[in-house]
Amino acid sequence: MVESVSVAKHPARADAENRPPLLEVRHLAMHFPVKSGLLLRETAALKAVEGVSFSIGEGETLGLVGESGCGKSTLGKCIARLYKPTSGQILFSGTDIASLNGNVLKSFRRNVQMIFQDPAESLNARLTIGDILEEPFAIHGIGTHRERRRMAEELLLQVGLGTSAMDRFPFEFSGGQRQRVGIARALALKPRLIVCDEPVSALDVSVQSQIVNLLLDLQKRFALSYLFVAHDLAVVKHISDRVAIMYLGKIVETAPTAELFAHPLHAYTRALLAAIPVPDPRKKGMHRTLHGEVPSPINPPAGCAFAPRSPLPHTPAQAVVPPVWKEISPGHWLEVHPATTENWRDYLSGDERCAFRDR
Amino acid sequence: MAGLFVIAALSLLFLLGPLFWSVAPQAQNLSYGPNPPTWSHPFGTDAAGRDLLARTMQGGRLSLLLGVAATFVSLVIGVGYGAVSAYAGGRTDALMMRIVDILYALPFTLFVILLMTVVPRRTWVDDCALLRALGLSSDIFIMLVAIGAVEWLTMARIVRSQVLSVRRREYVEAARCLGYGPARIIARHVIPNVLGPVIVYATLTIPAVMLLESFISFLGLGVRSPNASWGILIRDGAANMAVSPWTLVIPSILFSATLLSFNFLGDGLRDALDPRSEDA
Repeated sequence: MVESVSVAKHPARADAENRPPLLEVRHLAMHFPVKSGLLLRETAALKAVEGVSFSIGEGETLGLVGESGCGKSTLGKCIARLYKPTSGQILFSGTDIASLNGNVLKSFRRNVQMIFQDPAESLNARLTIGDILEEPFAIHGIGTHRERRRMAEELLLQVGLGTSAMDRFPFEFSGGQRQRVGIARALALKPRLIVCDEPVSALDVSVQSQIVNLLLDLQKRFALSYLFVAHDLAVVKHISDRVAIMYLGKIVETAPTAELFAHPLHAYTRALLAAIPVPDPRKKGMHRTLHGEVPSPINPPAGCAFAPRSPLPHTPAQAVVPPVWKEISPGHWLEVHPATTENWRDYLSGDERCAFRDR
Repeated sequence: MAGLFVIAALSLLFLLGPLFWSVAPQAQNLSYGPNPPTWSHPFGTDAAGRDLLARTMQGGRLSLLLGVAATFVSLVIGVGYGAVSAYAGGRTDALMMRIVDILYALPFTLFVILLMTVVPRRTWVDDCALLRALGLSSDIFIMLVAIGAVEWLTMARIVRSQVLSVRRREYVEAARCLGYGPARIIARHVIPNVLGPVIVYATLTIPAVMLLESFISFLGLGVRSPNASWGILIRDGAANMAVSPWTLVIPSILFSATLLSFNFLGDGLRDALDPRSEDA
């Protein structure tokens, strides 16, 4: 039941915890106005992200997992400043970027880039690969025309494509190759953090591993940090140093990858892990499924948003009183109800209690 | 494709015809009077003895010019307006579109009658050598303004709906992420990707404009004699239908052929540019 804790994948990450984080997000909220009526008056707010805090260290990968509509893509886009957050802080190297505007925002954009889910969508079909890759340099006024072309060719080589791709159009490439172009574009401005918004979920399984390995390879070469948004736990487990689980606009649990997969504490994390398909025909019917629907983010419950669906016993108070954010063991944070904080161990099975005995 | 050939042939006839057919469209021969087609006048002559072939060519030139120019005007205003409205979104979008709705509600005929009454017969257009050389006079210019002012409304709506679907696409977000400003995104990423349906609609707007022009001229509000447009020719022909039916029939046939081929061309373009109708 208890897996051995695997060693860090990269030696550079060992001292990552000692340095100040590259990115620190504090109480971030992103509300989308729901407008109605002739004058488009704001009648309600869709709380896509509500009070989220986390940090990403230099050269670290944070996996962000949750089901569709939980706000994980919105969170990623806030950090890439495609959206202007409603409230909260996004500290990048200590500078708050949440409310930047104009030219300051434009120069910040070099630091954080984004890789999108569907490369067929994220590349403009009317431009050649060369045009697409020279664009970032043109926008920021880097180099002459000839230098830009040379830099674009270099980017193609870095992601494992030939320079012959320069004058071809996106539709001439396969999904995996197009995603490589998307990665090359994200690398162009030499960012320090890349938000990967489900970068492999639109690809064939055979291609997924190639892209994931390319991302890991590039991380080593350029000391990149990733915010890796995904719903595929197997991929996340492979690439992430730490994992954050998101449910209805909130992060409910975050821990180092091995710790999270070995000792999931939040009922939602457990349900997600239990839903991973096991490639063993004899184990069929073993997984537990969740019942009920995700509450509406327009009118979320005041208390624990997951309480109504939780397979664990919950009290009526849990659905009303807001939960607290608590560090259960070093680096393992959990959103937990005040009533259960003191005796949270009671909710664990016997084996799990053993694993936590010394903490 | 047949539509394209017919348009090309007719345009050549109207534009280059005067080089080979040197009879002046305004030259009257009152003693000759209305006569059916002969070798010296292939389309016959009208009541004032004017050569109908020369007049048809002049009218066709004017109709085509108006059709293309007014469509171009509507294209420029409509694409710009629609793209900005959709990209800005929110209140700006709502306000800009309500303006379009209000302009839509103005009765077009009334608008043209007002314009024709308010604007003097002789304007600066008649004094501008360049515009005169292009064959423009103030009556034609007013027509152009009036039709252009109305036709861009539909174009703006079409462009807006297209841009709304394109602006949430990931390549636009990727461009924003790289630091693009809105103007550059609209020009480089949005407009090229909405041009397909816009070109199709523009092709279908040309015959609509030509029909509008002939309708207004037929009512006596648009192009004024001695300038010939197809509306004028058809009106004159209709007045003398009993005496000289060819003056009605010949311009009408040419007019219908032009309109039909533009419509066919538009349909063809739509099928060619719309990926969904590819297998149809």
